[in-house]
Amino acid sequence: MSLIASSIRSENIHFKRNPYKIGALILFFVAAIYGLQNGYTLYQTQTEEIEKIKLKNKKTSDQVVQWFAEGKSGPENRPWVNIREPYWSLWYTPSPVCKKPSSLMPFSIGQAEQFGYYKQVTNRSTPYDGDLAEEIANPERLAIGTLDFSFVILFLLPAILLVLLFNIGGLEKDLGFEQLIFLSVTDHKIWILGRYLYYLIIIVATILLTALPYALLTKSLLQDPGKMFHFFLYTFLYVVSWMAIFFIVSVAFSGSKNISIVMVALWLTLTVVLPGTTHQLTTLNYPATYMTELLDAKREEADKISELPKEKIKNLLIASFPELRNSLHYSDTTIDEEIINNSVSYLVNNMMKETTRKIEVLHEEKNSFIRKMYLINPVGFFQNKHNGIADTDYYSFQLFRNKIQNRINKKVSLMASESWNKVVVDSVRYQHYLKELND
Amino acid sequence: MKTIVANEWKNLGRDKGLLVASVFFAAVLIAVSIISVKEVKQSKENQQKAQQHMREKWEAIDSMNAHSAAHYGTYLYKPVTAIGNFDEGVYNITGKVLRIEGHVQNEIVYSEASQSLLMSKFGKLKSSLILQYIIPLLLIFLAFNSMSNEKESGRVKLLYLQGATTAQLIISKSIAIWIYGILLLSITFFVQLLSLPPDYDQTQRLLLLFVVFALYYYIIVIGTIYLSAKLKNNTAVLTMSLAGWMLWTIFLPKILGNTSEKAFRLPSRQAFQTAMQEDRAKGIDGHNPSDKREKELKEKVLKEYNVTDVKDLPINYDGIRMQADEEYGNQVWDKHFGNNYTLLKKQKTFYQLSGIINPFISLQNLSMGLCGTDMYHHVHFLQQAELYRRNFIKMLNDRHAFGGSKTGEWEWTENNEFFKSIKDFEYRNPALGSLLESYRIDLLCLIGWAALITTIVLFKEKKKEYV
Repeated sequence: MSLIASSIRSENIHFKRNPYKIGALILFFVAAIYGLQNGYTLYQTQTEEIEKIKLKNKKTSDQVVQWFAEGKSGPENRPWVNIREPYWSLWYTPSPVCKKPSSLMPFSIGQAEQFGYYKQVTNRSTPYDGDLAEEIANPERLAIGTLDFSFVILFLLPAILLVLLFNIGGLEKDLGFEQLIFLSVTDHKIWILGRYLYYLIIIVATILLTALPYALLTKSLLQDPGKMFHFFLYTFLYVVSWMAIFFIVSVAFSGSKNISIVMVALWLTLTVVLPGTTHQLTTLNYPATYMTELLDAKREEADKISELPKEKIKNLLIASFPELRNSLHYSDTTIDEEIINNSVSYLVNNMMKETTRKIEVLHEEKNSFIRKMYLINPVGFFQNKHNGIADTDYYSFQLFRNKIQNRINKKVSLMASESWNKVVVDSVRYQHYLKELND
Repeated sequence: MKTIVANEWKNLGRDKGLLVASVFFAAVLIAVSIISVKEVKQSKENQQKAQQHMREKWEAIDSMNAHSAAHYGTYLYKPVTAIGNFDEGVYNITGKVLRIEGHVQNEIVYSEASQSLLMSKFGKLKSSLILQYIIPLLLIFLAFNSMSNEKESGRVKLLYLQGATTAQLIISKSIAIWIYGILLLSITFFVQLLSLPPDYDQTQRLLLLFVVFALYYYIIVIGTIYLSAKLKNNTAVLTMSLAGWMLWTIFLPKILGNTSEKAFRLPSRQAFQTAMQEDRAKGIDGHNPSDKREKELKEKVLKEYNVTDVKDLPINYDGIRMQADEEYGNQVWDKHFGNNYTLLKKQKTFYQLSGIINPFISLQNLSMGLCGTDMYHHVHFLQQAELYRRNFIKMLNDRHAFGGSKTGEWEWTENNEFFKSIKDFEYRNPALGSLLESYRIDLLCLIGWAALITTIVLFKEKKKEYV
């Protein structure tokens, strides 16, 4: 223990005298703050944008309420609209689905810039619509990526550790007093370990020092202490893993030149080459889909349903939505074409759900392959763990798509059941729609 | 100088470790090139299959109202260039499918990046990844001790006695290691050249790409050897070179990319759409609302045909009205898309100018640009697609207006021959000449860096002796 303690003390003196190492630590500190600020800016931008959407929707619903109050049937330039009919009333019911950014977003932006995070749901929507494209952004900037906190931890930190650790054990050889060290310390490895521990303490302290203010700013420390704990746990494991790798290098190789070359090679292999190889292999095995089946379903299969005889549509609707048997229209002897037309979206939605399910299955196969590749791409593992905790990974957006699908289900079900029950919509009923179709 | 270069090569040849590394890198470069070519071929086949499928659907329309066909629309697929296998640039993160229909300009969707978990922050293992990130590092390792070793061993005195100057030593040693880099580069480019279809433009791009990489390698090598001459020991040279490499290749591109976006902010999608909707409803200048525009059009058409009611027109007024609305919508789109494009161009120029402090950025820009996977090519595709959409919809609206039907006859249908007569979308990359104009800054930055370091070495190190 005393050897470790004395190693830590001597390393402290060495560190204070080494401007390169102090510079590296300052660079890490600045980069971490910069990364956190980038994430926080995105968090704020998305939060503000969602507020703007809410405000816009409020204006739309206020307008409809005003139409009810003034006895109007809809906008003046659209005489065919009648908001007393469930179809039109629901058409004019804003049904936004927004993916509120997680309070941990400042820590890991992940894939948040590659997906849309809000959608106005209509009875014709799907979770794969074009309006779910990512925010308008410079594609080259997206390709280069954002320097966020997670990037600083996963990519910069090992490089900083390299600068801090490369001459531990090696410098003594460079300066020719290696033998002196062997004579004065009882265990050479413990002596190196003590020096490593010193940097572990410094790095962990710096991470906490930079991250905690942002955790307080977004209230993630109070709202999601479990998630925060997990984020820091994975971060700690990552730092320790790199230190363990570098420790082996420090022990196995001698001379700071050799040690630094091996460390750089390992850093490059683990952070650039292996993730790149995984990416390439995944694309070869699971090429990007062009969604032809989805597009066909949306454009043609939907039309085919609409073109079916009304009787057939009615039967299909009853079969897939048995509650309609209790509706007013069910017992009608003649078919009301308008009611049937207003309910077709229920059937189309069912068909689209099946198509999107197949897409999700394909994507899951790809993700499963990626997870298997974690064995050769450990940085990818930590990267996706960080993103998952910060709700910025593929699965967080899959949950968002599920939420969209649920909202579509609700909307088309309401449209069908209200139409079949021949509901005459008034202001109170409209408020009910708003409540049902909003968070 | 020739003797020094030859001597350096002899030394490099004696290094067994380097020999093993060279065989390894050559094998990796060949393997990566072959795999990338295969991937692009596969991607191209899938894209063509999807495009053909949609075309078949369009050509299979038996009978349909022209306006219904405009709503039915079609889909365009962003192609991948043969040379795109070298550097995928923005291809992975931008959408690949664009819906073409009447009334609206849709977003390009379904990017590869949105179809799975995140795999890599630096992209796939393409030739560009190895040649941009790894080979320069290898060159640094080869170069960092070439002058400092001479100083430490005292051989430098001997070289000075034999008449060599420091400048000559630096330049000669640089040339020797640079040639090694060029050899590795040649392996990749040879495989690429073999895989290319006989296309003059693509071959030209590839050759220029070779020159660009060669320039960058020269900067890396001479810069490292210059440091090797200036700094006291190997460790200091290696630390400085590695720090410079990390800063140039890993961190500055991200930081400068983010800064460019903050300096020239793009509107949010929500703001963009709201502004478009408002302009479309109120008029671009805010004083020409849609109902007023329609009234003026109606009066003009009635006057032209000398009738008082649209029902009396020998043509279908609905088609004229819809085309006029399209054209107005196109103006609105041009204005807003134009604004965004201007901002994107400003961001790009800012980023290109940062090549003054970081030549890696110039290399990265030129690599993407020459491979046809940069923002300019992406925007060019979008513009060509929009042009196609406009012609496509105009043909349908004109047919609706002048194809024989009268106003209000929505049941009137066109036959299969008409739909077949509408040509499919064919995308061609912009010519190399126009591209080079956009990348003048990057080329100048790379040439400037190479010239500047050479000048410094030639003039500042001419008489200096490190003994």
